[in-house]
Amino acid sequence: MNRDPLSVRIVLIALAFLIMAALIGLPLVTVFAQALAKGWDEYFLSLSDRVTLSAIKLTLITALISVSVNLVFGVIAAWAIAKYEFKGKSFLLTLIDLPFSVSPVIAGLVFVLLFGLQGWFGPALQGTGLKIIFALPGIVLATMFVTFPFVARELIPLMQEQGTEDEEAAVSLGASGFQTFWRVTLPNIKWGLLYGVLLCNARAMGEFGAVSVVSGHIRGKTNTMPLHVEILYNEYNFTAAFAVASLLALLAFVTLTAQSLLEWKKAHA
Amino acid sequence: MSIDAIDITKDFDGFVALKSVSLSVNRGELLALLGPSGSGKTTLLRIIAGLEWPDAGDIRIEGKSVLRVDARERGIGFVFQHYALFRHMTVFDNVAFGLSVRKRRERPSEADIAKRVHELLELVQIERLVRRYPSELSGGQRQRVALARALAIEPIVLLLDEPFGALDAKVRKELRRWLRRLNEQTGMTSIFVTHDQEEAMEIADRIVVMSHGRIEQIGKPSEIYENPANPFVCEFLGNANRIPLAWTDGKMSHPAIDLDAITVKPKLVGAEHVFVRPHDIDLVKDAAGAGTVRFLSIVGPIARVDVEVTAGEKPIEVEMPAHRLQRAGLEVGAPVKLAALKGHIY
Repeated sequence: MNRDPLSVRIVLIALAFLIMAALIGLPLVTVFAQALAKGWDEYFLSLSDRVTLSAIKLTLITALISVSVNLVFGVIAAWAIAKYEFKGKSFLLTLIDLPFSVSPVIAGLVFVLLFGLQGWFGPALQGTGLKIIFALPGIVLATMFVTFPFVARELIPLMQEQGTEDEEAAVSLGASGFQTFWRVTLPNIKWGLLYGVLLCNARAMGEFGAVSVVSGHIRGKTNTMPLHVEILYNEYNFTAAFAVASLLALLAFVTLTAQSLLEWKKAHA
Repeated sequence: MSIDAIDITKDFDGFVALKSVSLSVNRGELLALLGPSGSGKTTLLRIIAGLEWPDAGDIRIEGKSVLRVDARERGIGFVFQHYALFRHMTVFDNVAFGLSVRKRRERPSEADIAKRVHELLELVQIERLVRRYPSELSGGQRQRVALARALAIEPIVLLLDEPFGALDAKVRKELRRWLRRLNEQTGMTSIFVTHDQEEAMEIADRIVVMSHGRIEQIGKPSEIYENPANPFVCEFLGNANRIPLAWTDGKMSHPAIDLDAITVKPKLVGAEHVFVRPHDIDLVKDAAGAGTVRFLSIVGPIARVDVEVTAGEKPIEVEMPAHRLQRAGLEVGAPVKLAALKGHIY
C-alpha cells in the first residue's frame, strides 16, 4: 500500500510523536508536576481556598447556562438551516461562524460597548439596577457568544445529510411536531449533539479573552477559573495557580476521552 | 376511498412541477403515476399525502376537500422511496410507531399493539426479523417493514413513491405481485409512482402518464399501450421506431419500408412521422431489400434485430419470436425487406 522505505516511515512517525510530546505532553506534565510540587496536602489546600472555590463555582454556573442556551439555539439554528429553504441562508451560516473568526477580546469589548456604563444601554440599565458588565450576566453573554458555533456547526451537516424523510414519515403516521422531534429527530442526531455539547462545554470553561474583558476581575465574585489562574500566577503563587490549572487540564482529558468514545459511537451508530 | 385532484398547480421557485393537473381515482383502484424524472409525479403524490401544498387547486377525498387537513390527520399511508425507516428503532418499534403516537384515548393497549404488529409482519412475511434494526436488513426486507409501518395506521389510502425502484429484479417482481394481491384483498385505494413502464403495466388498474408537470394520458394499461395519445406516450411506453414520411397524392411512403398496411385518417395526411413498435414490423430476407442487418441479439424467446435503412441514421428496431429468426437464417450484413403492420400517426 505504502512504498516509502521502512526507515522513512519510522523516522516520520517518531518525529510526529516527538513534536506532540514536546508541544503538548511536556506542558501538561509540567502543569501537574508544578501543582503537586509541594505534595497532595498543599494541592488540596490551595484548591479548597474560598476564592478558588468561588472561581470554580462561577465557571460551572457559566458553563451550565451558556451550554444549555447554546444547545437550544444550536438545535434551532441547525434545524432551520438544514431542513428549510429560505433567502439569507448563507448569511445566517456566516453569522453562526462569526465567533470563530473574531478575536474573543473583541467579543468581550462589544458587550462592554453595549452594556457598560458608557455603553448604548448603559444609562437605561443603571435605572433598573441590573448589572451586566463586571457581573455574571456579562460573563455568560461573552461565553455564549464565543461558544455559539459548536453545537450548530456539529449538527448542520448531520441534519442536512439525513434530510426530512424521517420526519415526514413520522408525520404521515400521525405523530405531532413534538413527538416527531422527541422520538425521531433527536435520536437521529443525539451523538452529534452530545459531541457538540462536549466541545462547547470545554470551550465555555476554558474561555479567557472575552470573559477577561467583561469580568472586572473581582476576587471571589467575577473570576472564572482561567482568570483566577492568571491572577494567582501573577502573584507568584505557583502551587495554587497550577493546582487550578490542573483542573482545567483534567477537563481536557475528560473531554478528549469522551470525544473519542463518541467518535467511535458515531461511526458505529 | 375515492380521491380527486382538481386543477393542481405547483411551482418550486420558478420550476413548474405541476400545471393544472386533474385526476380522479376510483375507490379500491390501484393506480400508477408513470413518467420520467421531473414529470411531477412524486410532487402530485406528496400533495395528496399533505407533505406538500399546491399553489392552486384542490384535493378531495370522498368528495371532501382535505387541503386544510394536516398530513398527520389525513390518515394516508405513505411509503417513501428510500423507506425512511427510523434507524434507531427495531422493526417492531418502527411498525408500532403509528399506533404508539396516538392520543391516550385512541391508543390501543400494549398487548393490542404487539398483536397488530405481529399480524402485519406476518402479512409482509418478515415476522422473524421483529427484533432487528433497519441497518441489519436487506433492501427488500426494509421495503416490507416500510409497507407494514404504513399499513399499521389502517390508512384510508396507500401512497407509494417508487416503491420498488431500489430493489433487484427478482425481489421487485415478487413485491409487485404482493402489492397487487394486497390491493385485491383489502380493496384499499392505492397510488404508486414509478418510472418503470413495465411495472406500471403489470400491476396497475389504470396508468396516468405524466411529463413536464402535465398528464399526457390516463387509461388501462392495454388501452395506453395500444392507443397512445401522442408521440411522448408512444415512445415512453415500450419502444417505438420513429419513421420519417414522404407524401405523394395523400399517400405516405418510405424508401425502404412498406407502409401499405397502415391506414391514415384524412386529417393526418402530411404528418412527418409514423411510430411503429418493433414487434409490429415484419422482416424477410430479400436480396433486393433496401435494409441491412446491423445487429442481432437472441437471448430468450424474443430476438432483436437492428436494420439500417438509411446510411448514418438510427437503425430500425425489429422484434420477433426467436424461432422465426432462426428459421429465416438471418445474419449480420444480410439484406432484408421491411413492412410495417401497424403504426401510430400524430
